[in-house]
Amino acid sequence: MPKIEVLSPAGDFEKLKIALLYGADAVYFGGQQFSLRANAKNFSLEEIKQATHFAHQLGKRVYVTVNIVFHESDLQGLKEYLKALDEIGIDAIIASDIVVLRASKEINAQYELHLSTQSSVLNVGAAKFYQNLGVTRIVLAREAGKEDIKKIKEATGLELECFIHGAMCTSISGRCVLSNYCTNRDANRGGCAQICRWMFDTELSDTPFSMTSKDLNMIPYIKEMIDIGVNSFKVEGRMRGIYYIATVILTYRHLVDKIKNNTLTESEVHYSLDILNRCANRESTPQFFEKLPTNKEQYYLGRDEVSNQDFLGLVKSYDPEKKLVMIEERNIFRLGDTVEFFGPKVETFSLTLSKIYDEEGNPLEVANHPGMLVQIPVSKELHEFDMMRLKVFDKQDYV
Amino acid sequence: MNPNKCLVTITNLEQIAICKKASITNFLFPLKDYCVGYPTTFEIEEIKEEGYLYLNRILDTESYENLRPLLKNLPSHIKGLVFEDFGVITLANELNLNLELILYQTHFATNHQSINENLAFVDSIVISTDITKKEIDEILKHTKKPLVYVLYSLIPAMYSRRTLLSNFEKEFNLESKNTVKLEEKISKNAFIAIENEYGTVLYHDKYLNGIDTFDDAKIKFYFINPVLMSNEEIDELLNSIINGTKKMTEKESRGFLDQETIYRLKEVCRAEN
Repeated sequence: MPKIEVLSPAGDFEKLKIALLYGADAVYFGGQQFSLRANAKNFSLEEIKQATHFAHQLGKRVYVTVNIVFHESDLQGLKEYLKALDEIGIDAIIASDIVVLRASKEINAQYELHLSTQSSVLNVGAAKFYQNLGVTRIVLAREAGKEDIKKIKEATGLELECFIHGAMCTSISGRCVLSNYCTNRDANRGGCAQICRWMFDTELSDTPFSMTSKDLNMIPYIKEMIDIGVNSFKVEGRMRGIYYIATVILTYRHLVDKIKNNTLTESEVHYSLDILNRCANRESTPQFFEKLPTNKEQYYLGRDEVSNQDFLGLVKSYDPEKKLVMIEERNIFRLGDTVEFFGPKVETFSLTLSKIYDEEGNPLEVANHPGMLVQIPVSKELHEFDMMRLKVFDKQDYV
Repeated sequence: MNPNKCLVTITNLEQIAICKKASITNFLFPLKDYCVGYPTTFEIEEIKEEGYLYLNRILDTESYENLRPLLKNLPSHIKGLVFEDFGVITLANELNLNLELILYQTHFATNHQSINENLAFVDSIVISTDITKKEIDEILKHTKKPLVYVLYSLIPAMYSRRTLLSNFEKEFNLESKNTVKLEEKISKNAFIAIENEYGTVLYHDKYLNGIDTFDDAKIKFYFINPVLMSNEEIDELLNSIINGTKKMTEKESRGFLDQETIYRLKEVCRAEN
């Protein structure tokens, strides 16, 4: 089996850490220049250095997005920036503009060139064009179907990266400037205001027109994608929180590992689907892999956007002698709640809260201040960065 | 305006005579199965005039494979291809086609360095309509080859592979229409959605009137794209452009020619305050 990679977004250093600890093989993020998420925190060069060091210590990889559509004034400082990234030792840049690909060659950069999904590659000819420019990996258009992926792999042997989870553009990536018209923010330089999620009046009916896409979720097709030659499984969401990153990455990590070991069961797939659907705030579904999306893959009125408070706390430390876990509270929980602990090194387990203490050891009935530190007796060992969530699904019910 | 420098999209075959009357003989034909955003497209067999083929789709594998025999057997009056997908360059090279290649990636030809790099593979490039006149002047100052400037057109603001109108109509059991006007509720910007089986294009509802002064030597074509205009309107438009009497109307705008977009958070905040 070829090398398979779970690739996570990392909107900031904390998310990067969580992503790598929860099983991502590589992370991608933007620097403070030339990246398509202008409103994300993004990384300074010093932070990119630290992030690269942290990832490499774990034997993992770092990709930096340099994927805006460059206007004249944006070209200034590009080469110097690419040189700095190369000196840091990042593993790849993700770019779409030919000027970035050429500049990387000119400075003899050691990092790999990954072609951004903004270039919308869907056919062998386009893939070959970029291969000749030195691109070693293509992030295929989100519109890529099974046959497109198969044919491109067979004809080029290039590494292929596909989005498997997260928000979708309604447009083909990069082919939208609705934001420019409606808000004067340049979508192709990181200013997208997501106009495709707004409502429109139309002559068709009194019902407002909407073109919003449901999110992407490729859980049922991961094995097939591996079989036809996808190398990197990419999760969208540089703006998402740590709970989302942890849950999604851990779920796909388990799935990929089980596929590799040939131990993946149907029940595991169904359980994973429920877990992922619960942690996102929108419905998710496969989109273009097997067929063109229909009205069923879009949102209209009464869309089911749910924000839940499942993420209860982040483990800060564990005292094995006292068997007490220190939790940083994120959402309210109280005595009698049934919760679940999960993390990269623990088998998910549940617990009904019978005792909660504050930092000084005083008993509490409820933890209701985000950020407060509380202690809970837990007999199983936990680790920093493990998480506590409300128990909603019982894995046993799926067997 | 020199009519020999004008390239006009043909939206119905009667329009050819209208163009000729205005001494315009450079025609662009939206090719059936390879174009989105045009109510009318043409089979190769229907095209009898010398001209260029327009292929503005992002091509999936099947369409790409089907394009090979089609390009191999093109009649000699087809002078060139105006296209969006880089796969066309590979195909043209593999088939050793003797055709002019003009790259038209609606939103991506936004700086002179990228344009010059891409000009190594094509004969000309259509300059993006998302940039300012000042930026266009800078591009023209440095370009290695003459470029195509969008002089008058409905401007594509979005291209989706989804059949957005059909999906909406299906969801609410509405009558089927493939051209619909949409008005965004907050900004009140209006768009015209045109759909075919290959996807949906949303045009901003105001025609870009980009008539301005340029160094003619740097311009290969002034592109006129009269989507959704009647033959009478096209006749009037072409005459006024050629005669130099075209004025700005309420149905038109200057697009982003005089208005730079913003994108960094600090700039957005500054603009909103």
